[in-house]
Amino acid sequence: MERENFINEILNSVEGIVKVKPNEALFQKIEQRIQETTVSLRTLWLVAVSTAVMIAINLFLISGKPSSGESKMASLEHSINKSNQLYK
Amino acid sequence: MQHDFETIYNQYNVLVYNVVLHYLQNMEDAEEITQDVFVQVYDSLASFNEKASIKTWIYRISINKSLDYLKHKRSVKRFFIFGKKSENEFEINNLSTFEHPGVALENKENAQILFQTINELTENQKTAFILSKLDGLNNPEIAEIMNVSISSVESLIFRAKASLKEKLSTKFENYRKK
Repeated sequence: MERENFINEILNSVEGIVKVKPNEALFQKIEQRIQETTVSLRTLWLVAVSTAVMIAINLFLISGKPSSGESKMASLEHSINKSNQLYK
Repeated sequence: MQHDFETIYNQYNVLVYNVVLHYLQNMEDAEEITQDVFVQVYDSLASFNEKASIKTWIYRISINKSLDYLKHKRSVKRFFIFGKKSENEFEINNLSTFEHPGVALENKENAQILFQTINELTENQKTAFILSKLDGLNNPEIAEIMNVSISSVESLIFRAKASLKEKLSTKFENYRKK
């Protein structure tokens, strides 16, 4: 009997529980967090775009150089071959 | 969208805060997770498909965020007490000394025992019990939030109460020894 009373008292202890209101400044905190997230996302995008542009420029320069380098090398080889003919 | 969000916040902030508080049993943690819930609501508002009501959707986000936070907190505790007591589930789960500010003064001590014991229930039993007993929702509402049948909710609440009675009966022995 004592045991049952103990159990029932505990189970019924939350009867009529009142809802608690959160801190009034909570909405401002949430707004601040949303703005921070938006700003950091914008920054992330800016970094991503600038990195992509840098990579594109580098690729363009790298892909351009070998062809001109190769042609210079070819003309050099040609001139060497002409002037330094060891066996005639 | 900003206006919609503020309206939603004004309508549901008390609901979210209280659900989260019942799970986390700590005012500061509840405030932090309430912020997380509304940040997610803001982020997902545009893609909300209205298959469920907005209230159900917000309940689900609140419950998921609370459970995730508890899992994270428990894993941190488990890490810190690793070794000697890491296998003692009771100790890991039952560190709450929470006094709910919305409980009548004369019931505070008993409510504290109840909140400790709720923490020993399985996840689904805990959710069904909290939504039914503390949030005052009816079984169809709980079924919609938990995405289960009404009979499953009835069964979960029945088993939750039975389990609580069993655990409280053990606690009664300790209480009598004092």
